Parts: sequence; C-alpha cells; structure tokens
Amino acid sequence: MIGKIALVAFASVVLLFYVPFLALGYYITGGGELKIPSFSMVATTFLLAVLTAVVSIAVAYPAAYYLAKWGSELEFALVTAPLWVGTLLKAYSLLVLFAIVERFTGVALWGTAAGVLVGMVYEYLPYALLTLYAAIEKLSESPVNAARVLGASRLQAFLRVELPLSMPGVAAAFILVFLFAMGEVIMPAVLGAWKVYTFGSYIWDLYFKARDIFSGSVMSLILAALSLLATYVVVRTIRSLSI
Amino acid sequence: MRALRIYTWALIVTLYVPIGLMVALSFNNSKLPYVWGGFTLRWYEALFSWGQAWQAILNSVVVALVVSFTATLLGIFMAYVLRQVKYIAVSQVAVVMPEVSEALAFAAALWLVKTYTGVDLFGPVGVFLAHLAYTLPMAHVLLAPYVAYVSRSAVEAARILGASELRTMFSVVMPILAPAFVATFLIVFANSFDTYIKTAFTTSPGFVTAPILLWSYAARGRGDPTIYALATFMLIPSLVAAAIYFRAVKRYS
Repeated sequence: MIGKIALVAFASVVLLFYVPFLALGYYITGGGELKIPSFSMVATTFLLAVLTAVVSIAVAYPAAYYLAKWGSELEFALVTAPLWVGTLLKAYSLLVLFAIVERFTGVALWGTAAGVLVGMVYEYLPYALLTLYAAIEKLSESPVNAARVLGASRLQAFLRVELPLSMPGVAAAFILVFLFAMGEVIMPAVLGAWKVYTFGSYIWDLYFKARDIFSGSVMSLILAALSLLATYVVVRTIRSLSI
Repeated sequence: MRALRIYTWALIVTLYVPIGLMVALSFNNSKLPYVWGGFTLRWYEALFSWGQAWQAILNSVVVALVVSFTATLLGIFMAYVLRQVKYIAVSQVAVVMPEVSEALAFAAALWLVKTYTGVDLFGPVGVFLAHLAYTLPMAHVLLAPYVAYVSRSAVEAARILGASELRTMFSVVMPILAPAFVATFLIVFANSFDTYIKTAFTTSPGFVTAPILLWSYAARGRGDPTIYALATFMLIPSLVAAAIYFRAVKRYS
C-alpha cells in the first residue's frame, strides 16, 4: 500500500517534471527559424556566471572555514536563513539599497553589470558557503597536525595542506553557483533593468515577447543539458571527496 | 580565529542589510529611500486598502498551502519507500535544474494540452501543478536523510502487533518524522510562496500572486513605499520558516 503511494508520487515527479521536457522536443520537431543568441549576450552571461562563482567562493571560503571549525549553531542558522528568502525579494531590496548608495556615493549600480553581479553574489553566497562548509567539515585533522608537527606554520599548513584538500568542495561550489547563475533571470531583469542581457533573459523574452516557443525550446534544452552535465560532475567530485 | 569570527559576523550582517533596510523603509514617512521622514504606518494602511494586493497575497498563501501539504505528504512516502540512490538522484537532478528551462518546458506542455484537448490549465491549476512539479522532488531530497532515524525494530514491532502497513506509516513512522515534516513543509511553503518564474510561465492574467504583483513594480524600478510594505509582508513566511526550521531539525541530533 505505502509502496504504491510512493510509486504514484514518484510517477507524478516524472510526469510533472520530466515529461514536460518532451513537449520541448515536440516544439523543436515542429521546426521554425532558430534565433541564435548574439555572441556578446552569451559572453556576458558566461562572464557574469564565472565572476559570480569566483566572487561567491572567495567571499564565502573564510566564513565557511570558520563555521566548519568553530561555528556555533546560531551562526550556522544565520548564514542559512537567507536561502529561504525569495530571489525576487532579494532583488527588490537591493534595488532600494542601490538607490541609497547612488545618492550618497554617486556610484550608479542599477542597470549595470556590476549591479547584477552584486545581486547574484548576494543570492548565491549561501549556496557556496554551505557547499564549502560541507567539504571543509569532512576534512580530517590529522594531515594538518602532521604538517604542524613537521614544522609548518599555521598559514603554511592551511595553504599547503588544507586548501588543496578542500579543492573538490571548491570545484563543487563553483559548478553549482555557475550553473544557477547561467540560468538566472530575475537579477538581470530587476537590477540590470533589462540592459544587462543574459541567456536566461533571452529565453524569457523568446517566450513572453517574441512568442517563439521553437527557439525557446532549443535554448532551454541546451541549458538543461548543461545542467545535467554539471550535476554529474558535481556528484562525481563530491563522491571522490568522501573516499 | 578571531579575525575569521569578525569576518563571518561582518558577512552575516551584510547578508541582512538589504532586507533589513527595506523593512525599515516600509515604516519611513517619506517617499524617498534616502530621506528619513519619521515613523509611519501609512504605507501599511495603503497596502491594506489595496484590494489587488490582498487578493494576490491570498492567492499565494492558498497555492503555497496546498502545494506544501501535498508535496510534503507525498514526499514522506517517497523518502520512506524509495531510499535507493537512483530514486534520490532523479529528484536531485530536478532540484538543480535551471528554473527557466523547467518553467518553459512546463508552459510548452500546458500549451500542448490546450491545443490537443482544449483544456486550458493556465491559471491556478497550472500554477499548482508547476509548483508541485519542483517541490515534490525537493521534499523527497530534504526528507531522505531523516528516514534513517526511523528504526527498523519500531516498524517491525508495530507490524508484528498487527498494525497494517498504512497504520504503521501513520502511527509509527510519521510521528518520528514529524519534526522533519514540519521543517520540510515550511521550506516548501516559503519557496512556493516566493517563486516567481514558474508562476509567471503558468499563470493566466486573471490569477495574480504576490510575487507577480511585486515583479510588475520591481521590473520597472523602485515604485512607491507601499511596495516596500508588500515586500515586507512577503518576508513573513521565510522568517517563520527559518525560525521554526532549526528548532525542528535539532530534535534529531
């Protein structure tokens, strides 16, 4: 009985989540004129995604290290909680913050790539932090202790032993954030004021403005395939991490 | 270590500055965000007398309630029965899939249904199904680690004493998983309540949810402080979820 309920639930995941992708296939076989995205747009998206991942990891790493070694429950909770605030709310609150920043410092962030970058880092920082945290927490103390006993300073022990050992976690965090950032729609739209145009916004516009489901389907499938590939790589790296 | 602690706390504070500022400004008696005009509740009064906003919040709450209840309940069955890695992997892939791709696929499927059967699912039903499509795998993934806390002996004892499979599920397994159920329910609720992209692709113009309403202002600029009040209102589910979640999960450690 419970097995049947579980299977029905599982079947509905497949039906509701995976089967719709076949509809994309249907629209692709239907044919149409493929609107190829401009090179500069793909480049912008790619650069923004790479930068988001790099900046998030650089900012999150020290905090993740601290949390994994000495963090309290409260600190952990405070870092995780922003995950539950919706992207749109975060984007909107940054919009307000940008107006204040512009007024007092003269730095205009709204409608610029820098503003979008700030937004995406703000959004994905907790993801990077939690992934790094998981990786650093799993590290055994003994290699560091060995390095210390053999005369390495604390900094040396970190740079030569712990940092290299946590690299799989860094790779996993990079791929995760990069992937999310590649498909991002809300931050470029709200903070980039549609001036910073990304792959996600392109798919969005293909559906809502151009009503071109054919091109949208092709782009969506490319994005989905990329995501599958990246997930596979992440899962492989995390598995090798635990061994 | 001290430097790292200071750094971490600085980062935590930074994470809360934009949201905190927006909440503070929803009580600001000035239309300009950089001018503090004193404390006021007038933006909330404006929000409360704004029928469309009420309707949108109500729509969001109803959808999120139904979605989170269905997803968490079915998710418990999935997590309890389908423990093998292959099933969890199917759900994990769904969790990390880019939102636009997924939303477009769903919209395309709804178009096909409309073209071939004449049934127009765009609107509340479409939104419900689209939300269920991604929250069900999410609930599965979130609940999976907690199933290990249900001991085999408790389940076997119940079965030997004559409880049916379903009875065991409701009287033994579910109570043990109750804190995880609450935690997952809250995460899914907050997530469904806040989701914009999937809703936008599957709704009809007549069915406006709170994120859709917020977007119609946010995509054009800041707007009036009434929107800050709306956004502050929309934070409530996330805050409640965050506050209760850690307490619920702590019971397992």
